[in-house]
Amino acid sequence: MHNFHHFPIESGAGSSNLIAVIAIIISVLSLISSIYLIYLTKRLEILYQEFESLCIKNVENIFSGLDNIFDQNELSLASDHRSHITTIMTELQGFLISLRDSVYGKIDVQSLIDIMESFTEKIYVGNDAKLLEFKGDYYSTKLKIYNSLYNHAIEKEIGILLIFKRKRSI
Amino acid sequence: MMKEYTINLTLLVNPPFTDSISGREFGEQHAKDTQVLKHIHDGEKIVLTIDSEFVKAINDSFIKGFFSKIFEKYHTVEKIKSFVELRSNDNFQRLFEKNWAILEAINNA
Repeated sequence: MHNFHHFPIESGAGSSNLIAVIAIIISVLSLISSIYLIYLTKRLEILYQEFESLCIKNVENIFSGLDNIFDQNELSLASDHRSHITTIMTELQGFLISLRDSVYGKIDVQSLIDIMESFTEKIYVGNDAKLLEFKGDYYSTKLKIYNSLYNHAIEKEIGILLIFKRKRSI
Repeated sequence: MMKEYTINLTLLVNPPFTDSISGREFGEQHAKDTQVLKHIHDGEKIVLTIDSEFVKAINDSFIKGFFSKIFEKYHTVEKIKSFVELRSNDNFQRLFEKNWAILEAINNA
C-alpha cells in the first residue's frame, strides 16, 4: 500500500502575472521615453536650424562686408578703412541687440561689443599699418564672436530644453 | 532758449599726426573733463562739433565711453536728443545716432 502524501502545489500564476505586469510597465515607459527622446531630438534640430537662420546667417552676411574689405585691400593703409570697419561693426552690434530684444533674450551683447571694440581699437592705434597686419586679429575676432554665439545657443537657449524648462524672454 | 555749451571734438585730434578719435576710457575721461553731466543738469544744451576736414574717423568705443554716464542717467535717445546737438557731417551723425540706439538698448535691458 502506498502512502500518498499531499503537498500544497503552487500553480505560479500569481508571480508570473506580476512579472508580466512589470514587463508591460517597463515596455510602456521605454516606449514613452523613446518617443520623448525623438521629440527632443527633433525639437533641438529645429531650434538649431532656427538659430542658424536667425542668427548665424545674418551675422555671416554682415561679416561678409568686412571680409571684402580685408580681402581686397590687404596692402592699403588700415587708416583708410577705419570708418568703414567701424560702421559695419556698429551695424553688427545693432543687429545683435535686435536679436536679443526680439528672440534670444539672453545673448550677452555687452561682451560681444567688448570683443569688437578690442579689435577696432587696434586698427585706430596702428595708423601707419597695412590692413594685412590686422587680418589675424580680424579672424580671431570673428571666431570669438561665433564661439560666443554658439556657446550661448548651447548653454542658455537650446541646452535648457534638456531640463524641460526652455523659456524665452518674448 | 537753452544756453549752449560747445564741446569741440576736433580739438582731440592733432593734425597731421592724428586724425581719429577712439577709446572708451578716453571718451569717459573726456566727458568728465568737460563736465558734460553738470552742464546738462544746469539745463544747458550740449553742442558737439566735429570738423570732418581734420577728424577722419571716430571709433564707436569713444562715443560709447563719452555717453555712457549720460545714458545711465537719462536712458533714452529721445531724451538725450532734447539736450544734445551734433554739428558734423552725415556720416558722423549716423554713427552717433546708431551708437545712441545701442547705448539705450544696453542700458534699458
